[in-house]
Amino acid sequence: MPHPFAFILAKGWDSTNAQMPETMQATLRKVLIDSHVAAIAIAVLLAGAIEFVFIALFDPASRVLSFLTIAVATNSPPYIPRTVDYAARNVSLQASLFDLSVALNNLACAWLISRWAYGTGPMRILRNYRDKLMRRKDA
Amino acid sequence: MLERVKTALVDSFVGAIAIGLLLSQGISQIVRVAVNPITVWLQQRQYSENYSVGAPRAALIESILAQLLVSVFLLLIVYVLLRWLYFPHVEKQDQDVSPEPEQSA
Repeated sequence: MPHPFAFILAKGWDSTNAQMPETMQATLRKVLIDSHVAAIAIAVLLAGAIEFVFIALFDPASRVLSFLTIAVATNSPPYIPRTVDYAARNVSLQASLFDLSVALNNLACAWLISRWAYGTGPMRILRNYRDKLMRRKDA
Repeated sequence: MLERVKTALVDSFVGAIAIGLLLSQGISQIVRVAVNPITVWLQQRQYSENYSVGAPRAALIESILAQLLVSVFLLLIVYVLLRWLYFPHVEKQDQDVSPEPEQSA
């Protein structure tokens, strides 16, 4: 039975000698590419960015949903205080902004790694990996 | 025994996934260290009435140092694992290749 990741092994660690130059001076960048560590790190960072975007949007979205639900249930607009308290004004908004900043941070890291290791953007790298997997499935 | 563990980690991609996770954590920590002063400055603006002038600066330096240490530690682990799992293979082949010119000479 063939190895489930044989197609990656064929291009990765087992055939490092095929990809390396004669001198076999493996740089850190080449090792990161051949071992697929860079691609995994990019995927993790992008997933983290998506997660934090969802977390950042969850609180405001749930507030809007709650407002609309009350409006529909009571058939009248919910009570809106004239003066907004400290927590509503600063803390809730700050948390969302902080989550968005973490998401941006993750995106920037993914972009940095992909530019340094592969010389292209992170989405192109992941698309290439997806194409490799699809080709393997079709074969 | 260690060789078997190494082969299992490499063949199952568990090693690559673990190193990838650690690398992503380490690099995002470093970027967070750069972004942290802005976050702290924003918080400082909010809570400035509760703190003395020196307190936020001390907290800022403490948090930056802690995050920097964590990121350095994570990247160190990444490098050690990379060397253990992926570099030795290349070095071993390097040794195998080097005697050839001597034989021909």
